[in-house]
Amino acid sequence: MKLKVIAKRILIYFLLVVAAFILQTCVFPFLTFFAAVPNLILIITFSYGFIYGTEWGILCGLFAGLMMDLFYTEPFGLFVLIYSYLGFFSGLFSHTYRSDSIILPLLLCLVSEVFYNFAILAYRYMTIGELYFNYSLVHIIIPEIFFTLLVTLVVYRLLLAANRRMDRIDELRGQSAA
Amino acid sequence: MKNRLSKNILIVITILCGFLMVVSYVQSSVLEPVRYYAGYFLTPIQSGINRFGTTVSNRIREQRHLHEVYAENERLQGRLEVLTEENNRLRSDMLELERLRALYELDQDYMQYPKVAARVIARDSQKWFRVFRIDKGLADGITRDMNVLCGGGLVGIVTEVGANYATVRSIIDDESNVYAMSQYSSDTCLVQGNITAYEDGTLNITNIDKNAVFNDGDAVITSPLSTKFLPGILIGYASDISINSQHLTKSGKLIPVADFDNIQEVLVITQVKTEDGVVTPGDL
Repeated sequence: MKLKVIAKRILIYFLLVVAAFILQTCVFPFLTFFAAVPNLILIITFSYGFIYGTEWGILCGLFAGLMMDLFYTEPFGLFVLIYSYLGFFSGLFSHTYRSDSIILPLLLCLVSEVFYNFAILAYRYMTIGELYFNYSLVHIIIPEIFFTLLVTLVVYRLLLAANRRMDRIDELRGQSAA
Repeated sequence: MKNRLSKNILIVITILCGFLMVVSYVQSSVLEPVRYYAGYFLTPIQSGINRFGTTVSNRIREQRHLHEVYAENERLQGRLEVLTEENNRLRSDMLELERLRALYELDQDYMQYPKVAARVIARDSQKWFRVFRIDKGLADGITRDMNVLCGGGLVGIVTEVGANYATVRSIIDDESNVYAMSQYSSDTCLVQGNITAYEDGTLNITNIDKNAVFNDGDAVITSPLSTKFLPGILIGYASDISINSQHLTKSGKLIPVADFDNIQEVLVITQVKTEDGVVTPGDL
């Protein structure tokens, strides 16, 4: 890939993560008739890891974690760490990527969500000293996983369509330049 | 090795984040400038998008409740007549109260604290941490540790400030502890946030002395003992007060006055409590 294309992609992914994050914190929580808020930045992270490989997964995870770290007052770096690992993990499966399959992305989404929520649960256990496992599972983790899976069905396809278009444009540009 | 580059990047990120986490955990102010300057970029966007989101949400809610509102309106018109009459009577009572209060110099009521209104622009989307962000910051005279009110009761405290935003930790967060007391008997207690308790719409009250006069329904206000909360702010009402199994202390539940699920606008008290008493930061 050419440097210019890479730079363009990095910028686009960054803006996409920012947009998703703002939607996730400024709009969804205020719609009180939703039981939980889907974790959009997690969807972006694992999707790009899965489609383009570990490097891109880590990059998106880095952006996503950065947004979270900037928003919360928890120790800086906590979310960057979690999201980068998520991006890397889903990137490991990119060799099995097929554009028409939705089962594997859903599975990845499930695994990512479980890993993410349990990481935060562990962190909270370390800071507060109480686990509230059953409560967290029923009231926070399961609703969020459910909504995120549901949204993945739509968002993953949208991301895929947008990327395919972007890939084609880059390809055509490359050809005309050659 | 196919993923060698990624693994190296990951190792670098792990070490870097580990280092940053330790640093910011030990000394939380080190990384504040980062959040501060990011605020310049994020807050205007958050503000705008949030306004759009709340407008849509409110429209939908309005549509839903329109029928109820018509019926309620009829009923309330009747109540209004009664209340207007009552209000007139109470107003004369209040004038009398004010005179008496001045006489006794009992002007500890928190209504006199200077306040600014702010709009909530972002909230934790996952209910893990009960924090939210408001659209007023240093530029509007907000500083760390200022108390935040909503709906007549305490909702939280400012934990971090940027130029044009402030992060507020609500009192229902697990990390929140507020020294409080019964307005009736002045006996002290500790009001603690707890995610499981909040599901029932309550907070925990602990550390009440076993001989203290603390009854269900007592108004609980912030205590002068608190190092960060200004005295005399209403938090909520006590319920389910019972003696603990060791017979040393009493504990119970607190029903907060503020509605934490639906906070859109809040009031920030622009005075903070320090060792020297209550001060306005700008005057320092």
